[in-house]
This record gives sequence, structure tokens and C-alpha cells, in this order.
Amino acid sequence: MVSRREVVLGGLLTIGWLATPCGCCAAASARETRGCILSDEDADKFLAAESKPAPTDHVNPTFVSSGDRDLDYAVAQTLSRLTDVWNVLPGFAWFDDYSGPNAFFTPRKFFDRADGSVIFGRRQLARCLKDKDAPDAAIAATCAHEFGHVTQYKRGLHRQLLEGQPTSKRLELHADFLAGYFAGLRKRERPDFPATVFANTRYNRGDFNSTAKSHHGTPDERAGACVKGFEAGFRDRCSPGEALQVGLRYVQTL
Amino acid sequence: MRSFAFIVCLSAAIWAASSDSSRAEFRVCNSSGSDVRIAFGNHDSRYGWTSRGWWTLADGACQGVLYGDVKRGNYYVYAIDRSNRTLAAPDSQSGGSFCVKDTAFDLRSNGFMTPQNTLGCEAQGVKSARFRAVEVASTVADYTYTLPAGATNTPSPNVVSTPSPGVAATSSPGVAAVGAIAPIIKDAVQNLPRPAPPAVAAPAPPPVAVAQTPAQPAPAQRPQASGTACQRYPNLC
Repeated sequence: MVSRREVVLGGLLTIGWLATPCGCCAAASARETRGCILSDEDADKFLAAESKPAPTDHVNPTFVSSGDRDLDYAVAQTLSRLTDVWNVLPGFAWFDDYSGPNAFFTPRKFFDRADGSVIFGRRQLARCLKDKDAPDAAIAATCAHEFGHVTQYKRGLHRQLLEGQPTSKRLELHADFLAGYFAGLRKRERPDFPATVFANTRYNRGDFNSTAKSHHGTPDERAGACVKGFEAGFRDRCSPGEALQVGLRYVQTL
Repeated sequence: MRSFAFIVCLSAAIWAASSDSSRAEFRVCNSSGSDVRIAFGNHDSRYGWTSRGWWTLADGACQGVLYGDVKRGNYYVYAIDRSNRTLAAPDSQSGGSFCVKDTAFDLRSNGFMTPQNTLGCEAQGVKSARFRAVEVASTVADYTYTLPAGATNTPSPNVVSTPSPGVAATSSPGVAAVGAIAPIIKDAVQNLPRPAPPAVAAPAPPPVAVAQTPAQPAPAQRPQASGTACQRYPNLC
């Protein structure tokens, strides 16, 4: 059963790389932390607050395992691919996102990793697993988005993306772009890779709080950024460095 | 008048006695079929996560391990029987590790944290053990957790000890009965069992609380080609 929205998004992914001329590989020319990036202090506060109502781990509000070894193992493979693409190596852990499904990046070095930590909520995980078509791709899409933030932070792009902006929309859409780029690379490796799920998850995470600092972009904007990233990876065969710059230019036009 | 005062005092005494017997508490009852020693872990609003032990419970006995209303949240119980079989935590359980000592103990986990924000008991000369989580869904005056029959079913290797006969429910950890079982506990804790190996080839994830260096790769039982991912994200393998 494929919904109308999925058809539309799937069409966008397909039409996008077929119709638009390549503009990537030719000389890519190309802003504090908000959105789903949390500062060290904020990450600590957030995790502490999240775990208080019903702590399930007393040592650290983060967990090393989802509770499903096979799932953990599959996630490790995806994270490793993301590490290869973006040359970043953050720590990764699950946490009890008590107040609602969530995942975020923080420069906090929970696992003594220089590139910070990606923290994935168990409720967020449960939500991804409910994806009837490709739950694994839904998890990968969330990881890819957060690794986008890791990359932004490591390369100092987050300052450029946030500079003068009233919201974190550019930052988030750029991460969506990078997630789409990753989907494009995977699609090239594996023709049956369900890249549409990436755009769909981004669409579903869109919001209309355009005046809120944490505004991530509307559903259409988020899916659109993801599709653009997909094009950069699948059709235009951009290198990761090029994709970062193309994504930067793209979100600056919005 | 004197008889009235007597009646009042008697009533008060009866009331006090009855209220004491029904005071709010977290109670552990032993229906495992064998005598056990138990330790208990909970979150203390003043001290953070704490672990205490040992109480000895004869089969069929109960023991209060925490007094006052039992608030919503997770509590942790560890039990070991005379054959040094422990109450195993399910594989799906995250966390639950506490520091324990061979002798009577009352430890605050905060004092054993490593720079990596994990629990480093061994580094400070004590042992670690994985307690079973008991989730209390809502705040209640009394809560009883019962060790079911056959609860202690994870035998420790190299068990040679013979515990002293069960001493029914000592009133608090760290009193006389503990001294009698200390050698037994020492042996048992030194041989704490790890979670049973899973049916699949994947090695068990390292316990979060005892991992000194979370970045260390887990023993590679996965295919060689995927070693890189497991080296990068060992906690997921």
C-alpha cells in the first residue's frame, strides 16, 4: 500500500535526477547551535530531564544498545557507511526520549569521540520501525540527518548556516540535503535502495512554526532539500565535499 | 481518669504497632525455592543511584529493602542462591549495573564514575554486578517483588562455596548475618556470570556500566568484512 504522498515523493526523486541538468561537479562555490544540535550543557540537561520520570539506566541516560542486537548491528553498518562518506566518527547511543520521539547531535563527547555524539531516542526508533515499507531506511534517514549535523559542526558550517538567521531552518535543511545525498550514494550502490523513505521521513518531520527558533522547515521544504541532496549523490555524482557546498548554496537560496 | 489514660496509651501502642507492621516499603519476597542473598539498587533523591546488600532470605521469606512510599520508576534487585546462581537480568534490559562488595555495602554509583561517564567499579577495588530491573509503574505505598520459582538460574562457573544455612531476613544490610555469608559472596561475585550467549553469533554488547573504554572493539564473532563497522561502533556489535 503506497500512499499518495509517497507516490509524490517517489516521483520527485525519480523526476529530479532525470530532468535537471547537472550543476554539481563544476566548481562548487560555495553560520551558535540550534535545532537538533544540542550544546554540551544542553545535552546533559536534556538527557537528565528525559530520564527522570522513569529512569531505565542509572549510569548514564544513554544506552549502548537498543535492546535488539541484530538491529544494533545493522545500525553499525549504516553508521560506518556514513563515517566513510563524511569522514566523521561520532559516538552513538540510544536514549529514553521520554517526552517524545527525538534524535539529536551534540558535540558532547559521551564516548570520548572527537566528533561528538549522535543520540537516538528509543521512541524515535519505535516510530521508524513502524514504517511499513522500509523501517531500516527510516532509521538510516534519521542517522544520515544527524550525521549531516556532525559534518556541519566538524567543518564549521553550522556557524555559516545559522549566521543572521532567526531560525535553524537552513541548518536543518542542509542536514536534510546531506541525508538525501547519502541516499543517492546508496541508490547508486544498490538500485533497490528505498531512497523515497528518506524524503518521506523528512516530509513527516516538517513543521509550520516558521517563527520558532527551532523551525526545521515545512514538510515540502524538508522533502525538497532531501530530493536535492539525492540528485547531487545519485545523478550528479558529487563528491562529499562538493555536496556540502552545493547543499550550502541550495539552502541559502531559500 | 487513670484508667482512661491507660486506655489511651494502650490504644496508641496498638496503633503504633499496627502502623509499623504496615509501613510503606519496597519488599522482596523469595519464592525461588532456595535460600538467597539479595542486594538492592535504587535512585536516592539525595545521593543518586545507590546499591546496598546483603540481606539473606530463606525460601518463603520476605524482606523490606526500602522504606517509605515507593515512587514510580525503576528499582533493581540482585539475588544469588546457595549454589551461586544469580537472578539474571534479561538480555533486553539496558543498564542495571551496580557496584557491589564482598562484604556489607552501601555504595553510591556517583563515586565510581569514569571520565567516560560509565561505572568503573573495578578501578576502585569493588566488583560490579548486573541487577534485574523492576519497574514500578505508579507511586504506591507498598510494592512487593517476588523472586519466582527458579529465578536464580544462571549458574556461575567454578562455584565451590557452600553457603551457611539461610538466615531469614536480617533487618538491614550490614549486620551480623552478612559477616557469615561474606566468604560466599566473595566467591560468587568473583565469578559473576555474564549474560547467556545469544542464539545468534553476535557477542553480547558490553554492559554499559562496567565498560572502562566503550570504544574498544567487541570480540569479533561477526563476519570479518564487517569488522570495521564494529570497530567504529563497538557498542552496537
